[in-house]
Amino acid sequence: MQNELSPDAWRDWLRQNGARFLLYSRHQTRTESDAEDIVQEAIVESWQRAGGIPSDALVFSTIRRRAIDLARSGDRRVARERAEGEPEQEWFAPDIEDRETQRILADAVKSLQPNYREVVTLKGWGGLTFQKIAEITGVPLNTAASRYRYALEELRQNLKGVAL
Amino acid sequence: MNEPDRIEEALKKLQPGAMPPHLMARLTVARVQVASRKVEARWRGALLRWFLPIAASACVAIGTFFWLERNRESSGQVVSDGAVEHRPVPVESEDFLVTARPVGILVAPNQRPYRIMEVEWLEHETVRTDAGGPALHTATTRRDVIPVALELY
Repeated sequence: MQNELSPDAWRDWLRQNGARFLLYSRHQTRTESDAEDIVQEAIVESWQRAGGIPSDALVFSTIRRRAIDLARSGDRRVARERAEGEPEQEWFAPDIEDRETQRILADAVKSLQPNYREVVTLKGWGGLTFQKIAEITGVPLNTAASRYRYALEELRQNLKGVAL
Repeated sequence: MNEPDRIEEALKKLQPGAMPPHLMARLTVARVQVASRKVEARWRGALLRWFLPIAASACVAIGTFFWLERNRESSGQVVSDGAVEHRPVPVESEDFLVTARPVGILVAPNQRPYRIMEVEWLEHETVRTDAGGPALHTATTRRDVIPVALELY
């Protein structure tokens, strides 16, 4: 039953997980349209490979691989030009109660160096273990954990004085 | 609560932005792609599980059949080669002129006259296998039409 592909099951799964995958795809790509293309391709590929509902780790790793392929094959100049023409998308849902703090925090996450940001995303919103993160990113387990720790430290430094 | 924990708590409150409606629509349509690929995958599974092994077995069977056929022909060839080795060879041959009948005279382009003769030969041949054994005598007739130059004095 878990792996059935009824329209409802598909839609429910997308509603439940799509935003997390899109967030990671946005972290991995330069433009919004690339992020959307990658997330769509990766979701379809993951479902096909899994023969049903794929694991989160499979989808995240597929997004990562496809983003790397795109970066290698694509014309970066074209990507930059496209990025300039695209409206800026909010990576995180705005919080009505504390919009300003949320924006500062989101900006701080976006400004993390890519290695750190990737681990924070996979850990915080992907819900993956350090073991899975290490497998996806191709680094040792200790490195994955260290990057997360350094990322939190960097955030702490950058958010000094901000009432979280 | 120490600082990293405070950061982690704050990050938890940060929720990923919802998927834009147009992307949701694209992905909803993509379900058909996944479903059709699943059917394809099922066919591919059947193909791999049944058709390919059967086809491979059939190829092996056909290959084996032809290999055996060729080997049988080859071994037949050996037998016939053996037969060639022991084929009777002529040990004595003698021709006898039986008849010679003039057919006519013709003048060649070089203005020399030729008499056309029809001759019949009787060929006697004695054969024996090189491995020994009894001799075999054969007698065959042979007819030729030959030109014989006429000498004019």
